[in-house]
Amino acid sequence: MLNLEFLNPLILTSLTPLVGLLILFVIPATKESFCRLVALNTACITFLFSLILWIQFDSHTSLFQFSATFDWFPSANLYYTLGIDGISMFFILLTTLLTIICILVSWSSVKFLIKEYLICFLLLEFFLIQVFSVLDLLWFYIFFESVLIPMFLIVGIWGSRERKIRAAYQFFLYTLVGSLLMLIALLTIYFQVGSTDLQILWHYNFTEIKQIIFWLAFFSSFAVKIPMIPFHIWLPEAHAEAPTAGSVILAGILLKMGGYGFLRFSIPLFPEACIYFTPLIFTLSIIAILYASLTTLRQVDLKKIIAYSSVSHMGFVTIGIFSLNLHGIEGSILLMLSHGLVSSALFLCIGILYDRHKTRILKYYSGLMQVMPLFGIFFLFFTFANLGFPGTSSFIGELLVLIGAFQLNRILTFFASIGMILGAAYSIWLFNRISFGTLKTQYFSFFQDISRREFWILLPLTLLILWMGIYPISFLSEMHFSVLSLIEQLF
Amino acid sequence: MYTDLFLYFLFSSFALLASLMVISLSNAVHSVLFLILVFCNIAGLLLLLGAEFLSFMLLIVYVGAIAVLFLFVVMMLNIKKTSTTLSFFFNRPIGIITFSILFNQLLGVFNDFDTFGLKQKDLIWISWITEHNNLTNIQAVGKVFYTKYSFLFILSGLILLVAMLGAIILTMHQRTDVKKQKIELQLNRNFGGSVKFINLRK
Amino acid sequence: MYNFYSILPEIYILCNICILLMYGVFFSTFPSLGYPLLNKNFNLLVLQILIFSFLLAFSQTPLNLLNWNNLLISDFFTYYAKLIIILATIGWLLLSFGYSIKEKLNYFEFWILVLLAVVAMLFITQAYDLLTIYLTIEFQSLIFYILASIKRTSEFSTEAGLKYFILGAFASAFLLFGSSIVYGLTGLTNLSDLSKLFLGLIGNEISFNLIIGFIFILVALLFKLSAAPFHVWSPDVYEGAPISVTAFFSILPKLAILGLLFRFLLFTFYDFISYWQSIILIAAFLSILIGTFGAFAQTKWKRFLAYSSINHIGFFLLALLSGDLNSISSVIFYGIIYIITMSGIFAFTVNVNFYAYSKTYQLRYLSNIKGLAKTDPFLAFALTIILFSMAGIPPMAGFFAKLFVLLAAVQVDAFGISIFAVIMSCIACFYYIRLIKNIYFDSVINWKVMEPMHKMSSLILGLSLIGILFLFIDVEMVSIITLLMSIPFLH
Repeated sequence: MLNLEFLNPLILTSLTPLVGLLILFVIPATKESFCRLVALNTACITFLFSLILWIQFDSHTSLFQFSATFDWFPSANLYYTLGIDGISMFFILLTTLLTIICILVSWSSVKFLIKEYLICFLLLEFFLIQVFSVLDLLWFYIFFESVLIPMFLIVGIWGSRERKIRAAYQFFLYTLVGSLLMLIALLTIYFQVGSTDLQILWHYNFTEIKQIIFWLAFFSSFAVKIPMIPFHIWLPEAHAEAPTAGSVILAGILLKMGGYGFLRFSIPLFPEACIYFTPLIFTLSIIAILYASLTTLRQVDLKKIIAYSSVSHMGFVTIGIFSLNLHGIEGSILLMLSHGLVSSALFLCIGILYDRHKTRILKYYSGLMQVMPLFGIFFLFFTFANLGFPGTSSFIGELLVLIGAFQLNRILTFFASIGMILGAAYSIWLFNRISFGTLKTQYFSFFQDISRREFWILLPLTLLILWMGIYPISFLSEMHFSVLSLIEQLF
Repeated sequence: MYTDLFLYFLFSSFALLASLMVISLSNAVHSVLFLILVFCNIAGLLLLLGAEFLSFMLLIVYVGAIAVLFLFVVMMLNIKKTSTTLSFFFNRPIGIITFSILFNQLLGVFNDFDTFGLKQKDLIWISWITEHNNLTNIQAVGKVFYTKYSFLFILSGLILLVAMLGAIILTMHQRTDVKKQKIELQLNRNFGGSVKFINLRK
Repeated sequence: MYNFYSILPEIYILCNICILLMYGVFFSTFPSLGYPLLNKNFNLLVLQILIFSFLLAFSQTPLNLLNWNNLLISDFFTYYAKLIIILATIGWLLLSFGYSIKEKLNYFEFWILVLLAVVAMLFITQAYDLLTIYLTIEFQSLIFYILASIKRTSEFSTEAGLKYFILGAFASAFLLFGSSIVYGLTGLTNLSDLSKLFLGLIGNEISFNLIIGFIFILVALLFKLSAAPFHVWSPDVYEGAPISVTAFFSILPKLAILGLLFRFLLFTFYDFISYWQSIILIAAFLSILIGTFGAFAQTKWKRFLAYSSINHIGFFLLALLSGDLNSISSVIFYGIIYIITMSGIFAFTVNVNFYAYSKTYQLRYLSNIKGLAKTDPFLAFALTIILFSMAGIPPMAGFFAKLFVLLAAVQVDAFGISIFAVIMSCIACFYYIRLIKNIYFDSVINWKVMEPMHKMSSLILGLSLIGILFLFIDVEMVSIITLLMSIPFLH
């Protein structure tokens, strides 16, 4: 490795969490505030490096930029390639932003083993950045799986309720089973092609039968991650039991790994299989949108409501991805980013409530707008963002997805739009039940509005959602060429 | 001239008799002793066949190790007389079946029933050169055993070392209350001061 | 003259055994010195002997010749296998330093038997003739029988030794019977002569009795390897023997007997591949099945580790199906990772002692490690990493080992067994995670007080941890060695 390679901002972004991790290792666990400071600084520096990625990104080409290759295992033709294009750049930015928010959120709510908690988060950030930037199938799989370990520990150790162990098990084993089928497909691909490098695989033509089998194996892994019906059961459990920061990262980024996998691997590698299975995906997505929305109406746990609404939103995302035209795919990416911001913000709000009152059951909360007005305003804004109100980013995302789907199939678009109505139903109903009405003072007697730290966590998210909703071209222009080249590869 | 025939009959009839005694005696120690007699007679038969290495191996291994092991076990378990109320011909059916199977095997060996070798069908040539310059069995085995297969020989020695170590580790108790003789101290005594004459009354 | 050069390390160890034996006998019965206990003395002397023999073996040049009247062979495989076995024994010695002093295994002959076992295993890797195979396996087995029952005050240990002796003697009888059938039908005992005889014989008439003889030998070798369905002795023997002896059984003989199995199957009987492929397939299938489900019901550490190693042996046999260079290299790679992992986990189980007033007791039950994260966080972390590696989660070394083995299986189109192995791996992951849950998530009412671990065993634990965590950075380092080691098995 030459010295100049270290100036590659992608490598800097990847390595900074590791450096922070190592520094955290040697700090004794009793110096809690110093640990938190180091972690926060590491996350901020990583975010700044990823901003450099955006600034220096050349949006007029669809090639992979900031690329670096390392000889990992040359005798078996396996290399470690890094590179980003328009699709992955925003996910990396989202990761680094959400990590800062996660560390800030857990500033005072995590009471024990704070050092290990921060180490888990930094490790998770490292793995996530690598997931979105490696250009090699085997390494994608390795980091895809490695994400499970810190997440398992976070949900199991710092989770909030008694069923956290069961939730951690479910989360781990569901994802593992799906991914192991992908492993077999990966090995067969490696054996047939002789390499796992993405750009080589893109130019290889598999036969249609093989494409179908490989696509199914990859589907089993990504479908659990997204999650699609019927593999979605782990998500509400994991969200309900995870600590607030865990939920933020889970909803914000981990779900996007599945969508990113579809975009980066399934569609370019197996184009005929994608077209073959499009009806299946559309059916499952519509079921996801409608069924998940209807289930949301029945929930009593605040986090589960948002979790099921995540399932519903990701149904839109998969419709967008598999509509295979420019509007659909760009809409799905934008919807993923927006969902990352909106769901994280909603989980943060719920976390704020949980920190104060230590319960997430809906019936205890009512009339909060009277005593927590600032919180109410933020919550209102995020509720509107969740349902896809114009002016917020999810409106743009859903609009583009529906435009893309309309070009394919009108009935599909009709049913998907019903999803928007149902989304409005549960979002507004949730907000109504929590914020308006009379205060239930028989349950709570002490109320406090959001603190300065929480305000400054929620404000950037609000501004970002507004920016994406009002002026999305600044985001869409970066990914334009990459998405166009993706679609061209198909046809 | 008929010495070898005579010896053949002697050894085989004693072997048969002794084996009959092994299975029919009720005292276990006597049975084992007759088993030893069987082995010795078979060793003699093998000598007659010219396989002297195998016959002495038989004596050393079977008599020296296996029969001695039998004796140890019999004496440890303190079996005096087997008290059975079964008659001798109790297991006639299975006995007849086994006998006929084994006898059938025996019949397969014979070309014709010429047990005494009285019929002289072809001339027996004696090659005096091989009689003179022949290697005995032991010499033949030794020639190969210590040169070509010496590695296996050393390996077997190591296995025996392990067996010895195992027997000692697993079973030897150093008892502290056992009185033993130390011969070297006894022999090195100074006899001068061992007996002293004293006058009791003066 | 090369006869002696190639077995120089063994000759060195044998001379030292004789000197040590005499030294031990003379000094331990010396009344004027007070019948000294030579345990610690012998410990260090044996360590020195092994280090010197490692240096001796390392400084030899790898020869490629047949020795001792074609009874032994010396090639790349034996050179590296000798180094690995001696290194593994040094590792085992360091981790059992404290154990024998603590448990008052005061026989100095214990260490002499260990040295003899090392010599036996070094000879097994070099065996090239049916006679040598029988004698060296008998040599090693006899030593193991004694080692299993070496704790004379424990009835359990005696029972284990007796079981092992009876079953092992039976297996050796099978080996001898098979060898005599093969000799009787072919007149040859040398493995290379047999392979030359069998060349092209399958097309013509082949006597069925030869296959029977071959199957007898194969069954005996599979028994020694504790592959299912010949695995029944291993949980009982592993449990009854004192735990440092269990570590010895687990870590060391597998590589030697695997090498022998390779020579036997892939070199001599390669033409019979259509017969033994199905046997090895069934053995691998049953091993993975029994190893996975057997470990579910276990509550004690030693039996758990026995079933876990049966699982690993299933993976060894899996890659044997194709018989080409890459698959043998992947098996040897898996073997090396297996040795490192087992050293790590035995370094934990041998030396962890809990202190309940007035005496310490050993780690016996799986539930003894509950709440370990609170009493000793770094030990808990080390154990977590080793357990994750045994489960096959990336980026630990265990994942890469399983990856290469599965790649080898996929190359022969053995998809059914690969998918089965992968699903069983998921199920096995469940109980590994259950152990990790016990460490981290459970809290006990009385925290256990642990004695500090012996320094040497923590060294081995640390080295094993480094190996497992950081192997993925430079996989080539190990895979070049395994590739070299597998060249002699090319047909």
